[in-house]
Amino acid sequence: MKLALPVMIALLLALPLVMHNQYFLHVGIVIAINVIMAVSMWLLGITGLISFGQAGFMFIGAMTTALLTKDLGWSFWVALPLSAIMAGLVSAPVGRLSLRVKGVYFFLVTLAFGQVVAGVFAYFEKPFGGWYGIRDIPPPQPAAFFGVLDKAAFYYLALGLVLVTCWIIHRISRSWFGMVLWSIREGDLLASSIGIDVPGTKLIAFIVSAFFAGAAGSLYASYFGYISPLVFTFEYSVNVLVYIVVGGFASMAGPIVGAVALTLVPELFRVTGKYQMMAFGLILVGSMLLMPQGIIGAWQKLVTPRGRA
Amino acid sequence: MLSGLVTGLIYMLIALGVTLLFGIMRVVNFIHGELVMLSAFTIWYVGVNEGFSMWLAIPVAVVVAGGLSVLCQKFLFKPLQYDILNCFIVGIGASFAIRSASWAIFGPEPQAIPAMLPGVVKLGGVFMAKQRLLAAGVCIVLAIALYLFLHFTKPGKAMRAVEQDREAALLMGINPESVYVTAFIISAALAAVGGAMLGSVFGVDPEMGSEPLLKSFIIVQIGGMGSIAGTVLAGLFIGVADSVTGTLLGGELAFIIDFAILMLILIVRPRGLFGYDV
Repeated sequence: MKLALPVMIALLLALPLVMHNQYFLHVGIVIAINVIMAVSMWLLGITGLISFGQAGFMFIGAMTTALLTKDLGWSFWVALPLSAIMAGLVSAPVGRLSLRVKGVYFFLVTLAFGQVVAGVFAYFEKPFGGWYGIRDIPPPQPAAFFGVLDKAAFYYLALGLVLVTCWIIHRISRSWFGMVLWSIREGDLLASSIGIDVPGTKLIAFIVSAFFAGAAGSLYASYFGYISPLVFTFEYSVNVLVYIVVGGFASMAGPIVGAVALTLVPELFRVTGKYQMMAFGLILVGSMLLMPQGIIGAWQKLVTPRGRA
Repeated sequence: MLSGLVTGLIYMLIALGVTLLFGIMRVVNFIHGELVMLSAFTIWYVGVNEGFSMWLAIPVAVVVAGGLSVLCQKFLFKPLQYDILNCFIVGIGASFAIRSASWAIFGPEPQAIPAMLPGVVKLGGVFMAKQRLLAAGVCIVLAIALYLFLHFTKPGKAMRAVEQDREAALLMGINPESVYVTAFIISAALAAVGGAMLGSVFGVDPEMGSEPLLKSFIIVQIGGMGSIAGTVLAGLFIGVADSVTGTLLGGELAFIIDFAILMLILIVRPRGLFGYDV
């Protein structure tokens, strides 16, 4: 088991050398973006809160990258951290206010926030491009590596970003701070009774989660070169939630497995357009009712001998 | 201003269904918007496509919405034991499935429901479609009827008893499960009438349920979840605020203004005007 992780990373690194099919690399990059979103939402999800405005923070990151690289001509390597920081900065006041309410109230406020982000970007044609969005966002430099023809360089960039994100979030969830997050899940009152600053801790988790969503947005903008309010919708936030629910909440493997599986499966069957949302809705309902612990939970139940768990 | 008030009243009617379910069993019903949409389509199908009378179409829509609502309660919310977070998530899933199914069935073409009361009246120098006045009247009557039902009839009192204390109500011989079924039916009936009014004023399409749902979430949260009076007040307030911002700044900004109002309320009073803590 100890070897599993290095072997997997080595396999992922070797993928472009074996697979010359550009399409597989494209799917890999999309998976990477979805995995970053899923683990970032999961980090806040540890406390029992789900931010339905996650796509909004992704949009803020993507918009920052688009404006910086296209209009100001800055390098992507500067825009990437700045986009993440921008999303984090916006999230601070939003989190401060929305975390005043709990549970479903929080869901609804963040949901409304995501709609407002899309609404603001759609309303102002200058400089945000309105409903048409922004096209021709330049790829990262040097262009020779990140050009349109060969996706291998971008694949490595996305892979690197995913590994760093997962490593950081894994470290956070296993740190003292992570333990505090898990304790908040058991109950706000209980956690505050042992001296935990519940609002402050939640706020930090909210900001970190928005930070990584911003990074994912930056990656999205520079890879696809086109962003619009129709991409970063509430539906996308729900997709990310479906990744987590299907994968399982209990550990970070859950969101990763869920994001990989649910990006791959629709690609394999080419479920597109109007039926995709139907499939996602049904998967969400089905896994809530049949597999409440997600794929990871179901797998552990399967491998654990009866009577030991 | 006046037409904003009418829209606000329709949203209030839809929000009343949301707040009723939340008050009684702490379920945020995400399917509510799809009930609105489906009943508008039912009315369009029965009343326009098949050519029956509107006064037949609306009861049919109420039955369809009520039936679907009870099915969701039996097969989605009950197995999850009305857990607030799980029900919310499962509701989103079901809502997406229903919405994209109706995209596939009805297509993206918007349809129109003809006015039940055609013509206009002049009200103090402003022309007003009679249909809008009818919609406003229906909303007001139903809101009052809901209040009377909850306070002066036996099933209504049972509902409020379950809302206050489920165990104590159980000891008094009230069956919470049947109260829940009644609540889901009433909530769906409100959604169906809301759908009829919304459809006859703005037209019918598969996406028509999502905006009223978002609006009613904001309304319910400003008014305080579970509070009928709060929902009515906040609905009127949001309706007027929307039409004022719509006239001054353009309709697209209305939603942003609503959100700003919601944020302001959350700063001052996190549980809403008349609500209680979860």
